[in-house]
Amino acid sequence: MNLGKKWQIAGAVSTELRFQGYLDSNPMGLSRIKENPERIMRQMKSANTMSGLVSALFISTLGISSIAAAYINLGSGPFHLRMALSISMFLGLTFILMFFMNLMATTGFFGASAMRLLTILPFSRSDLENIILLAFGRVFIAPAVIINVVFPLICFVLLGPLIGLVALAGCLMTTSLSIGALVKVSKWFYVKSHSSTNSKASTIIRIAAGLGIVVGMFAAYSMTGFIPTIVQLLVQLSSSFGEIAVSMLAVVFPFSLGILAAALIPETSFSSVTVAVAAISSMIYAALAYITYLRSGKALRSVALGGVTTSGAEIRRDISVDILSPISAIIRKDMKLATRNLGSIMIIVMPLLMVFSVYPIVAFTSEGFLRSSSALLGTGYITTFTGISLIGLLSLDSQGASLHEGLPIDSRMILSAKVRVFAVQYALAMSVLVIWFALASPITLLLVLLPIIQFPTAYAIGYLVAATIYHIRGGGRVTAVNIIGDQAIVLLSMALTAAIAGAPLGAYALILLATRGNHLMALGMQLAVVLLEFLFARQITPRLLKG
Amino acid sequence: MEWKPMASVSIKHLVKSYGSFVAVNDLSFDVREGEVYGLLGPNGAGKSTTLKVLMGLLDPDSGTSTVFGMDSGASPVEVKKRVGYVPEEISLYESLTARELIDFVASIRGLSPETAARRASEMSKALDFVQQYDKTVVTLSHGNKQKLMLIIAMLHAPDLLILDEPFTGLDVRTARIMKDVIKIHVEGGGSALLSTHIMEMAEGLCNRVGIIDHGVMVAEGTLDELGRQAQIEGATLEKLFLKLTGAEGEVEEGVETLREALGD
Repeated sequence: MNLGKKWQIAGAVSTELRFQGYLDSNPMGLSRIKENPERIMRQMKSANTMSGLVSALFISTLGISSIAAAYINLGSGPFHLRMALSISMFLGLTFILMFFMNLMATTGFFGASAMRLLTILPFSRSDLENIILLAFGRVFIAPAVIINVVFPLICFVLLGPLIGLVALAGCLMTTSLSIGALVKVSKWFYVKSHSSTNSKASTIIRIAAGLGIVVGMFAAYSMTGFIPTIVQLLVQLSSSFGEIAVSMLAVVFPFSLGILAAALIPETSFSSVTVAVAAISSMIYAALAYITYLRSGKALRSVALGGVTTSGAEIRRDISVDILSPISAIIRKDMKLATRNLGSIMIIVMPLLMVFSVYPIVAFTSEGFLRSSSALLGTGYITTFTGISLIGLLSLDSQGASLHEGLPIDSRMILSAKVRVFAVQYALAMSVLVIWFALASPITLLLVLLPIIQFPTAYAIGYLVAATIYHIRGGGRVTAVNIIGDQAIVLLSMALTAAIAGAPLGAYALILLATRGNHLMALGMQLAVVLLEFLFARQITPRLLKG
Repeated sequence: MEWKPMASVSIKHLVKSYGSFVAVNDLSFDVREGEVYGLLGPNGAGKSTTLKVLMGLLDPDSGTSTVFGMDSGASPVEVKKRVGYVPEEISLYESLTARELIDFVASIRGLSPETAARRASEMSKALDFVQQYDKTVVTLSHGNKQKLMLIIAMLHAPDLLILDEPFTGLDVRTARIMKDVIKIHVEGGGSALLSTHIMEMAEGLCNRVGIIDHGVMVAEGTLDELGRQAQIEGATLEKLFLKLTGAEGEVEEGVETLREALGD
């Protein structure tokens, strides 16, 4: 079979792999796919296009801001050192970006189902292995091309062909190493998240891995804004410790490549030892990148031969049944489901991520202390987004339809379980906010009470939003919601959450204005509205539910 | 006066439409206590819709459906407490293990740990499922998923089993075990309502069958009674089915078309 034909087949496989990765990261899509497959396909395609564009934009921004950082920080350290660190920063951050941006898609490679159809067709084993490699290549071709073209081109234009060439070699090595790490980690995560071991340790590993990955992703996206600061910091460190520090940095990837490239700038003053260390280290990393390339290929080829086994040698345990109360059992089941795929973990930790994203509003006030307006803005922003997290909890039920159809569970019981989990997420998010408010020098300590009084709103948000969704989409019965596929419901839930959570905050703001800054009265009114909403939710929820 | 056993299931003049399509049209039948009742019909005849209405999962347009005298629509939770249900399409939590699913189901049904463990253990042994007990659902074959569904459906020792196409895609051994499980359940005083289009299974298992086509009950009774209705003495259920649903001609035509297609 010729390469063109294999490339064409690999295109079909990579589409299927993206599709499965998409479903895997959006568990609710699994059941909804039958309702409107064309819509899901369209969404997947647009999500892929968006992802490609975002990757291109990120990498280009990263390249430009890295090089710009070397030119901007004119006051600190010699130019060649700044350039060395800037190039290193680009390579390091590219490694992280490539890794996190493609983690979900890569995890999909390790389920054997994408290759299942091909294995029944008349292809040789070597054809199958090549097709899976090409399919993998097709998924990564866009970001890989951007990395290996944009940055070397910038270096070529600004610093000359030789440095452009070293930058290209650095980019190729970084691509290979990040894909290698990606293959290894996603294979490990797939095995961990689909493993049948039920020990507490494996659950903790799963949650920690998921949390680490999600937080890592978030950190990677936020990193680009801090490049000049990081470069500045590294320059200061290197200047303080002298040439020996630079020589030591030259051993470490990606600094060895950055230093090697910068050493080619005319009139640089790196010592010959530093240059030699950078050159030798770079050669070692080049060899390592080549070995990684071969190993990644080997790992991917194993996919063609039946995927990854997740069960391993199991110790068979006695058949016992661990009974909990029905609501606790639903919560336990939801937590187990949520920690077994990245999409769901994201849903669970979303309110906390929102808190971290709101940090600048709280921390960087021009006056140096936290005003009521910033506190209100921060609290309102977080609560509005918690609505998505609530839908995420509802989406976990998309898979177990057969169980729910036969089990004597009423809608209220399921709702109660979901609201309890949501209340913990909400309370955690508000608690972090309380700490930040306390640390951000508030104009009055009473501001700290603002998120505390919001705590019970979780009850009203949880019951009213979820019951409304059950009412609209399930006629009052329990229904799973697709976050990606059902934007109308996502918007509705966000609007409802904003209204429910915003009403007490609005009441607080109004009274504060009307009384010219009486925080106690404003907080009292906030509490009154929170309690009213609580009572309202108790009255309305049963009317929206059925069965 | 003749003694009549109480009906486990009673469906009276049931009508259910999806938009302009009438899936079930004025359907009435009873399932008596201690019997296996087979609901037979071609694909799209309205069998699954009928069972879903019975489980309180769908609201009927008109008519009534009761299980042990309880209205399915009004008291679905009470109905589900006495019923073990295996739907046609099995959708389980794929990333959980069978053990975790059984823990979940037993907790929801409020069973004691000892009772649940004993039943889960005995049924796992009987269905040759012990090896699969700690595997994630996603790794199970269709037959093993079907077995797991059956264990889950019978964990609370239900009075009535409602099984939607329980034999589809099963190997001979698993199908036989499934058949025996249903027989044991009925011998123990339970009832079973199953939909199927596997005629041999229905013939060997059901005390009575109801044949529905386009949502309408075409014929109902024991095999002998159906033979008399179709005016074919001693015929197989397959022959009766084809005759009563008027599909004999369609089958012959289809086979002829296929013969021509494969002959090219």
